Amino acid sequence: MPCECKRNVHQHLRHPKKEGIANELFILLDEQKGANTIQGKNRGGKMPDHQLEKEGFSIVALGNFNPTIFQPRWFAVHNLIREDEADAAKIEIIHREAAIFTTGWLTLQVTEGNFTAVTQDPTKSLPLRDLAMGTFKLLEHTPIVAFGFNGFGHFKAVSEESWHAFGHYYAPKDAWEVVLKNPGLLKLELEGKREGYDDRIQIRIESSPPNLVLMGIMIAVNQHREITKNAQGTETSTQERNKAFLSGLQNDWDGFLQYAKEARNHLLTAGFSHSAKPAKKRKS
Amino acid sequence: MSLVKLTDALTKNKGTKFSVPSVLTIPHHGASVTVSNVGSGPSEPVTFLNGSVDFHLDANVLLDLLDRDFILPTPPVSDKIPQRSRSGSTSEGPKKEGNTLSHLEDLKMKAAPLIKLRGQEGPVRRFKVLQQFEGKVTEVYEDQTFRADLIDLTDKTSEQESAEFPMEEIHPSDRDLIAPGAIFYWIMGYETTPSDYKRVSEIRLRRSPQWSEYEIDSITSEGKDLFSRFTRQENDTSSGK
Amino acid sequence: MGECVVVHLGSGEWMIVDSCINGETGRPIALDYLDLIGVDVAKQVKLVLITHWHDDHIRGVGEIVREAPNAKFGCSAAIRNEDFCSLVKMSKRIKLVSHMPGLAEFDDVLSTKTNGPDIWMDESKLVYVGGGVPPVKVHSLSPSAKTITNAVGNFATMMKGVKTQNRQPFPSVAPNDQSVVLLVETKDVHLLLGADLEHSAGPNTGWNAVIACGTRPKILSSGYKVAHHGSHNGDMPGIWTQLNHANPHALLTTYSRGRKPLPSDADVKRLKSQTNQAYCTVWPVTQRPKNRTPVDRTINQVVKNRQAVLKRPGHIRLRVPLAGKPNQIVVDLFNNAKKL
Repeated sequence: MPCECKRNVHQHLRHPKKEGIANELFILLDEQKGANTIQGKNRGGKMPDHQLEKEGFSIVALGNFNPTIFQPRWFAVHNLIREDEADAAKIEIIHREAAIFTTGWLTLQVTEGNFTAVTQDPTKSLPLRDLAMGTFKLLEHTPIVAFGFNGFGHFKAVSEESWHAFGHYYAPKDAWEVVLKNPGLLKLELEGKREGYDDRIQIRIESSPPNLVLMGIMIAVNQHREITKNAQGTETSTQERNKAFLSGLQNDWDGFLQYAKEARNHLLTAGFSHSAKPAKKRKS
Repeated sequence: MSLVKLTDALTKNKGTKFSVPSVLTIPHHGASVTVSNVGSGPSEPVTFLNGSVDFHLDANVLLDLLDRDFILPTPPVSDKIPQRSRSGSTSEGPKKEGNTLSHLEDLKMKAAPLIKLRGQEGPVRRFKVLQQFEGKVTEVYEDQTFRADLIDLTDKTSEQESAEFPMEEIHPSDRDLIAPGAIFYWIMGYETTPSDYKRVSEIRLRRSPQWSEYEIDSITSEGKDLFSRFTRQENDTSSGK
Repeated sequence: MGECVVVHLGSGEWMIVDSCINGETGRPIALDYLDLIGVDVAKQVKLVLITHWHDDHIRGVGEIVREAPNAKFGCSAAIRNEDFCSLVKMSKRIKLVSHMPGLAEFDDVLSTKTNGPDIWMDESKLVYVGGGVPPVKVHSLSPSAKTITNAVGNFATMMKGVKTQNRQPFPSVAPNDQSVVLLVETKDVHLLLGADLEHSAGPNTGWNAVIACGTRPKILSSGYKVAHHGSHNGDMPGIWTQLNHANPHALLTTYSRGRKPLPSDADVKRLKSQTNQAYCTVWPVTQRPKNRTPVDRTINQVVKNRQAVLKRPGHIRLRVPLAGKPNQIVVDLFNNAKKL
């Protein structure tokens, strides 16, 4: 998208040099808290280079689901949400192909192949896990083939310049400028492994929608686990998969949250600290 | 309970005639059934729990639901239903089928064209967490207080505490859950709203379902096995004498 | 937080009674202590006994059993029960973030002791005879036959209740009256370990049954691990007159997590009326938690009162030669332990 739309829906992270600001900043590390702060040359005090604006988590299962089950009242009857939360639930749809409702902190979205429980309330990571565990303790015969944990956060950059420089750090524009005029990063996604796990990790950096966070950077971390085969490579039964999902929720959710937090802190630190260094001489 | 029996029961209880085709949804675990009556009276969503029938009148809600293309019940999905391919798609674009990224786009793709979603993932709460505890209720007192052990989840190396809470700190819907052994999460932090920036303390009880019959059977069977191991040694010894 | 007793049985053989976790290291405190004094746990620990399955007496016992393969493992005969076994399996399925049901610890023990405990302890049972001269003997003095019979009904009721509840709360499985009281017998100096046994109304349960038991060794102890943290419920005159010498060394652990921390001032007064050699692992019983900046004010606004659960364990050590006399007992106090 052209750069003129910098306050538009397709907000993206542009070349820092074009803005001519990045090299006026340098970084200070607050050793006590490990958080970055950026100090402008002519400014006396510290200010953070980014600020957490929004945070959320989701738990996703892939398999075969009957969406009509997933109604607020069903969750209340089984003690998984409060009665008053069920009463206040806003039902988008309950259909054999999809069930979607929101109540307070929770949004549940289920299709025939996908169960997603989402919260954008940073205080509800543990209740979210409890809800997913309770659901699949009850639905022990529901076939699941894979599950995933997600953590995402939107961070507001302290200045438009540092916001662009952050994008440039992860996607240098030199190669792009041949084919794109004024290129900008919209989305970057990498896949790999996490130490100690065979699971697939995907980390995505995106420009936040400006109507959500202006000059925002969204970092999303996904840990994805296939459970159709056991460690020996043999096909698992439905109950074994259910057990594997519950066990993953029990044992790994906390660790994932910590990992996701550390991963995004690292990416933010690296991206912003680089953006604050004096820009290198560029070829063109 | 079959649908016919259910509608009979409704007719008997409410003096209104109900018709089977008007059944809207039937979750297979028997949690709730929504039925509309026929005739001139208001329509009624009906909750059906463990064989008893409970009524909640809300005709407008029902009409609203009807507009949303509700359907007749589907049976529980079994293992034998052929599964869709879960491997990565070979078509252009990202691998939507096989990942667990939380993206509403996936849902849009699968649910379309019957359902149009608005692309929301629930309300956003701006909350800066300062401190989080996990509590375990140890004693409940008659004077509307309870005692709990607290583990610091923010800093797991920090010392534990034992503290006494007034029941009024607990959400009224959670108070029934307060009993020795109950677990709760206690979070403190700053909440930002359009009109306010305030310090907040929130306690939420951990919720978990009842044991299913299958689980109870399985647990009882495991218990039996364990007990037989306890006594096997004795039997072996006595038979050896 | 909790209670643990380690006893040298002579000839380099050791016994561990109950277990708790050292808040400073995260390990079972018995293992930390035995390592510290150079005991080879794998070879020298011969007995691991659990008096009852309350959380403050069992934490870490699974690890101890794993690290002490030469040890016999014993527990109360009251739990040799099918419903108890089901409750153990049930507890295994409840995973909490940090608080585990204590009973799940038993399942951990069973990963090592696959056929269950080696010793089922009840009233007047000889649990162990040491290899030294003279041999140190360990006897169990409870639970009584009546308690074991009652336990069958208790567990059945508990199991029935659990089935109809949600998964939490999980019941506290072993009532204190199922506790195992132990008697360590040497030549002249004997030690009575009172566990959490309480004084019950009936003649055939609790301390009444221990005192009335006709087949228990009729010897008086010079050291007494006071029952149930010195509470009124765990005390009765017969303990001081029929099971202990006059003015014994009385050792007690505290319980700071209740509304009425134990021992109370009245408990201390009563205890001191029986002996002038009473020692407590932590004193004062309750201590103010450290300041939790920046939420301390908020915490204090919400809770009515709060107490720290200390990470650093108090420690009382009694030493006496194997063939020594009661007047040769030497007491050493470590960390927060105090003479009352």
